Amino acid sequence: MTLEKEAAYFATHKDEWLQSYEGLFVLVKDEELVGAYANEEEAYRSGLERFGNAPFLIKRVTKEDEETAHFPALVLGLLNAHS
Amino acid sequence: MPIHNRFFLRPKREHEASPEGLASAGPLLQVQVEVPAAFAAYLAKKNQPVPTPGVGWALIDTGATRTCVDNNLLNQLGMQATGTVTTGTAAGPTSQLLYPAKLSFPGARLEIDFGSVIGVNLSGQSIAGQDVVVLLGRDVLSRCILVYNGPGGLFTLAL
Repeated sequence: MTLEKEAAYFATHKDEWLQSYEGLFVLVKDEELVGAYANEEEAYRSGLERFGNAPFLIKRVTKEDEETAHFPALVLGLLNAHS
Repeated sequence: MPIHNRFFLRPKREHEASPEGLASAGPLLQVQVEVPAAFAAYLAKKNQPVPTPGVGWALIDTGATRTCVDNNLLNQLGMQATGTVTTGTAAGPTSQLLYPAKLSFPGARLEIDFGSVIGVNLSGQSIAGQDVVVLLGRDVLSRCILVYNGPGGLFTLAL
């Protein structure tokens, strides 16, 4: 899957990066930490400048657990339902 | 504060509210899905054209934790993934890609530049014959006032 390598690299280094970059957004490409930024847009602009329009990972460094997103109407196939 | 009101009226009796119209269609807004400002600036710098926005309907989905956009539309805009997120499904957790995107709601005079939306397959999803290309989740609603007036056949979204 796209960004699998980057996500694994982030997970491996998260505890280490919490020491220096907590609350910041890191930009990761392949197995390289490119930089840490105050917001997502700054990280995105930097990624575009460095790598062009290619996949790269932007993720906030935080102690909180990984988010799990839910959208039950879609995953349960209810959008087309009618009474 | 941009305020969007949508009234559902009975066909041929347009002075009468249609609670059943709202119940059938749901709280839908017209939406344009565009490249984010940062990507538009990047393309301009490279003398490349900015892709034409995709249009469709956004369904306000109070059950969705985050805003989702049809990944076919994101691909048409040339967007590349900038993250992943774990999502809960009936079959267990799975991973979905995140993309930056800008959503414009012409009827509400409202634009939102998202750091990331979830790319999902919404092809074939329709409500009352209308294609849904965006599920507007609680990440946006956390900054809005939403009034759903079922008996009155109307809803109001204010940001």
